Order: sequence, then structure tokens, then C-alpha cells
Amino acid sequence: MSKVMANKKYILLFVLPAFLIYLCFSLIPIIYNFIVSLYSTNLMSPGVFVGLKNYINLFTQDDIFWQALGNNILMVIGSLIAHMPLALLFANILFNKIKGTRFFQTVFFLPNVICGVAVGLMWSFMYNSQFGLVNEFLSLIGLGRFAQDWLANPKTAIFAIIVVVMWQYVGYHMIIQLAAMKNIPSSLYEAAEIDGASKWKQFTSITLPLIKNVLRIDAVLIITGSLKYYDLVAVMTGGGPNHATELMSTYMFYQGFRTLKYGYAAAIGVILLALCVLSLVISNIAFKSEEVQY
Amino acid sequence: MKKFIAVVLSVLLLTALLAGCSGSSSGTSSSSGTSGSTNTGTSNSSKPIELTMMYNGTATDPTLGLVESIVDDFNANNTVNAKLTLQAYENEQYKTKLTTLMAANSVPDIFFTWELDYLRPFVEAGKVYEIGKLLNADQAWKDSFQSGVFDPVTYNGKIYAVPHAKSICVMFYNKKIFKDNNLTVPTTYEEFLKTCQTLKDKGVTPIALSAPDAWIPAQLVQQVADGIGGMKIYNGLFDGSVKWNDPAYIEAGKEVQDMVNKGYFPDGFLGMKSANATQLFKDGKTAMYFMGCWDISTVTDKATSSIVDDVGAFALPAKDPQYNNILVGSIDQSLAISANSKNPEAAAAFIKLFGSQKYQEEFLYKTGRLPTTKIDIDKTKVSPVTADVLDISSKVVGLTPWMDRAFGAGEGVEFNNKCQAIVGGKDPASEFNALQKFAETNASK
Repeated sequence: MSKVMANKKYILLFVLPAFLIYLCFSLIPIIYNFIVSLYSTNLMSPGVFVGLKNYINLFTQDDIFWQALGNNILMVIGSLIAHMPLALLFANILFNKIKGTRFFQTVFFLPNVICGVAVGLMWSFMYNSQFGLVNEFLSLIGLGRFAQDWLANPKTAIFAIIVVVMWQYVGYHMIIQLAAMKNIPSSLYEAAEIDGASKWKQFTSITLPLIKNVLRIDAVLIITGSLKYYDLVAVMTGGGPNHATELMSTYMFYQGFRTLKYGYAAAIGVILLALCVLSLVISNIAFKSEEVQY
Repeated sequence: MKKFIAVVLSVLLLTALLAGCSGSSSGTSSSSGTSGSTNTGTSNSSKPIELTMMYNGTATDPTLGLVESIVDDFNANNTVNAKLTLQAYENEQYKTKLTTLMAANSVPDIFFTWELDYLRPFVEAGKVYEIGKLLNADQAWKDSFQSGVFDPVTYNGKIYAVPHAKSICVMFYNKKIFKDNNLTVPTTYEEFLKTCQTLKDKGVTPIALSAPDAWIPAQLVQQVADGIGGMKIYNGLFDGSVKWNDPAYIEAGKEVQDMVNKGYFPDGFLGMKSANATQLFKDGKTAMYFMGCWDISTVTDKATSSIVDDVGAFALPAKDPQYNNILVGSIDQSLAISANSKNPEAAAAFIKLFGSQKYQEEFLYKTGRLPTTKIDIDKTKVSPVTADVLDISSKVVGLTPWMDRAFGAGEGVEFNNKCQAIVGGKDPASEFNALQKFAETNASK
């Protein structure tokens, strides 16, 4: 085995298939996309080279793009709130071995397994102003005056969708964080227990620092996932009403496949990529920690 | 043993991977590979020409069944030795699929299309076969069509598609509800508003409308605008002599917003799916329903409608009576041939069959689609509502095609969005001002 690992040729050979797929389906399309973003084209006739005009137009003339960007940022904030503190809370509770850990793990993870379209349809019915569960529940607990058309009201639509996204992925991140916590040797907790540390102190001083690496990766997943998000908006509101729930991904689809402005859409894609890379850099800085040996 | 299992599993994984890959690639290549693959080897003429066609419709569409029977008829009886396969997609999917196939140069031989600015980019990119050549060569075929129907699919003087239906926006109404409330079909705009108010006072929802599909409130605003400014304010948009924030459009927006505020539309219409709004009318819960006349087949569908025998239709009267009978409408059900098609003549043979008298009559009598050909209509064979619509159609003096067809996915769709915002309560003047601003900046993208 070590003979294989030592020989660089063998390593190259084994990495090659995956790398080829990555090259063909990720790298080359990204580069091609960047090139297309410098043109004004409908991909059917030769395009006109316009340089950075698409980007300039996006930032200076396109109100809808700013609306989409704003919605994406709202989604990032919403996701960060739900998928970091909340998921950590659930993970920590389950980590401390309450009754029925297995059961709760499964139940929390379930929304993530349901396909996005089904989730969208189900929640569309729940938000329905005539027979939806949400309005029924509100009137049941006496908050009936808040009952409204959640998805059709431009002010509430995006928040309604963010709530569903928070619900859908809490379990996913909880599992990731739980797995990281399980890696911590229990001897540390036993020692802390003997020294008289409270549960909260144990959490902040032992658990958190030791899963920092995983939290860093998780944060990147959360932020990039929110920036790229498409499914629920496309199914529940289609970007409406009047672009109130438009996201960068749905706007990109609209500009590409409906108005045939592929160059413009490609520019949106490049900006999306840049934002994701930026979030990676910020995450790395925020969660900076030295290698811990335990 | 372990090694054996490992080998078996990896072989299985590999096969699954390859099957997945080949499955997807053959999926996309079949649409281009079979488009007109003639036998070039031997001169064996018994191998049929394979044609492919894509159409807009779903299994619940009453017209799709008829289209499928035309395909079967063609395959059984055609003289050009061709075999046609049909693929149908739902509306939004269809738009995406056609756009993608256009860019990939693998559009099927025959495809369903909309007119005006929808087809224009494809024509200008050279992806559409100029079917006008075949029409001009076959005068009998060309003359079978009514005058003017080819105009919305003519670009630079050449015809690129064949329309098979006419669509106009009408106000469907429930005759029984009208009778029960002592109402008659309104002939003026004021009468129409009074009718709505009477119904509202008696506890009947006047008009079924839904807002999530932006084009639905938009076509109502456009119709009211037609009644305020006539053809002038529509045609002026094309050369810029009329702006999107013309007072006529703002006034139309205010009128429809008034209707919303007076409660003429169902509760929760802002979030109601269009099918549910239609169902309200079909269940007899609203007195009227504003829609394109293609929905005749839906409102008279015995399986889902309880008002089949009580449906009638009238044209929305114009606020300014001099503009009466100018309706939102256009041609529909257009078929075009791809420029990549290897057998345009065989494809045209199918289109000829599609527009033949036999099928134009079937579309009319069975699904209420207005014909684009000159056929003698037997009034006894049409349903009462179709007779109403035919009557309206014969009185039309001007048609203003839907904005998102005439102006494409830029200003056209934004017009829809702004109208949707107006029925949601936004100020018409600021919305149309924003639309004008959008139109001005959109030109430079």
C-alpha cells in the first residue's frame, strides 16, 4: 500500500478521473461563463464584445439586481441565525445524550431529505391565505390579525421563504456539528466535570474551540448555500410578486432563458462566484485558530 | 470473498455511472439525431422520414388530445412517407426548453411558437425556416387563411410561422347569476361597473381573477387601457411616440385598482393560483371571468365545470365608447419549422393537415378555438359561449396583442409585473413611471 502511495505516478492516475470530471463540468464552464459575461449575446448569433459594460449596467442601472442582492443577503443572515446558533443548540442538547437522541437526529434531518419542490409545494399550501395552516394557527393562538397572504405580499414574501429555508437545513448543519462534537474525547469533559465546570462553561471552553475548524467549513457552506439558493423561490413565488423575492440565481435564470441576454446573466453568475469566494476568505479570517492536538 | 464483492460492487457502480451518462446524452441527441434522418445508403424508399415536434400543453389541456389525434392521422395517412413524434411540455418548461434547444441548434422539425417579439430573436438568428416560401408556392394553402393572420409572424416581409387560432380577451359570464339578479349584459363601461356593484351588494363576487401569474391582471389593465386610448396608445409604444407612463395607462391602472378596492375580485385573489380562480367561476361562485377565449374549453369542460350550459361571453365595453371593440388579442397556436430541419416539405405537410378545414372545424366545435382559416361556421354545432365569442370576434375593429408577446421578455414582462404591483396596491403613476425608466435603460443592455 505504501508503495502505491509513495509512487507519484499512481497518485496522479487515481486522481485523474475525478479531476477530469471537475475540469469538464466545473472549471471550464466557469472560465467560459466569464468569457460570455464580457459579451452581449443571445448565444444564437455571434455576440458583441462589450467588456465590463454588463457589470457596470448591473450595478448602476439595474434596480432588480440590487433587490435580488438584498434578498440574498437577508437569506444569508437568516441562515446564519438558524443554522449556526440554533443548530449548535440542538447539536449540543443531543450531544449531552438526552432520551431519544437517535429519534431526534432523524426527525431534525428529515426536512433536508424531502426534495426541494415538494417542500415548496407543501409550504405554498401552508402559507395559503384561505386554507393555509399558518393563518389557522395564528388565529388559534389569538394572533389572527397577522393572518395575511404571506407569499403574495411583497413585504412578507421573502421572509416567509427564509423561514422555510431555515427549517429545511437546520438538521443538516446540526448533524455536521454533532459529528464534530463526537470527535472530542470524553476525557476532557470528565476532567471538567471533576473540576466543577458548569455545562455552559464546558460548552464554551471545550466544545466550541475544538469544533472551530468544522464551524468554519460549516459557515462557508451556509453562506455560499444562501447565495446560490434557487429551489424554493422558483417553486413558491417564481421571483414574484414583482421581483420582491427575486434572488441572484432566479434573476440570472430570467435574464438568460427568458430575455435571452446570456452575457448579462453570465455577469450575474460571475458576481455570485466572487461573493462566494469572498465569503470563504471572510470565514477563514473569522474562525482563525491554531491547529489543536488532542 | 471480500475482494470479489468489492470487484462486483465497483463494476456495478461503473455500469450505473456509464448508463447515467449515456442516458442523458442520448436524451439530448435524440432530438437532433432523428430530425430528418433520411436513408442515404440504399435507395430504399420504404424507410420513413422521421420528424419530431414539440408542443406547448399538458395532459389536462383539452386541446392536446386533439393535437395528438392529428399526429396519429398524419402518421397513418400522409403521402410524404414521414413519421412524426410529438413531445409536449408545460408552459414555463416549454419556454425554457425551446430557448435552450435554439442555442444548442437542436430544435425539433416543428415547434409551437408565439408571435411578434417572441419569435423575432430566433428569426433574426437564422434559426427558423422561412415557411413563407412554401406558402407562396402553394396558393391554395395560403388563400385558405383569413387576411391579416400572417402579419404577427411576418418579419422583414417574410412569413416564418403558421397561426391556427385567434385569441381575444372576453368577459365570460354566468347567465344564471345574471338572470337571478335581474342583470343584462352591459353595453357601456358605466353599466359594467354598476353591474359589478349590484353583484357585490347582493353578496356575489363579481369577477374571478388571480394575481400571481402577472399576465392575468396585466391583460385586464391592457383591455381597460384599450378602452381609454384605443389603438393609438398601443401602436405608439413601438416607435416611442407613446410612453409607458402615458396618462391612458395610468388611468387604466387606477380603474383596475378601483375595482380591487371595491372588492370586485375574490378574497385572497392576490395569492390565488390561476386554476383556483378559474374553478371559482366554474363552480358558479363568481358571476364573471376575464380571460382569453382559449379558456372556452376549460369553462365548458363537463368534468370540472358545473356551469357548462350557463356560460356566455361579452366584450368589455370601452370607457370611451369610440374605442369599443378594440380587444386584447392576437393569433395563437402557431407552428414553425426549424432552420435545421432536413425535411421542411414533409414538416409543412403536417402543418397543412393541422390547418386543414377538418381540424380547424374540430378545434372550433370541440374546444372553442377560433379559426384562422376561412371556414363556413355551422352555428348549430358550436356551444352557446363559442357562438358569443364568434359574434364578438366578428365585430372586432382592432386587436392589441398581449404586451409580453409584442415586447418580449423585457418591457413586456415588466408591464405584467407593474400591473401585478398595481392590483397589489401600488400607485399606478409611480409604477408606470418606473416601467418607462426600465424601458429606457433596457435598450442599452
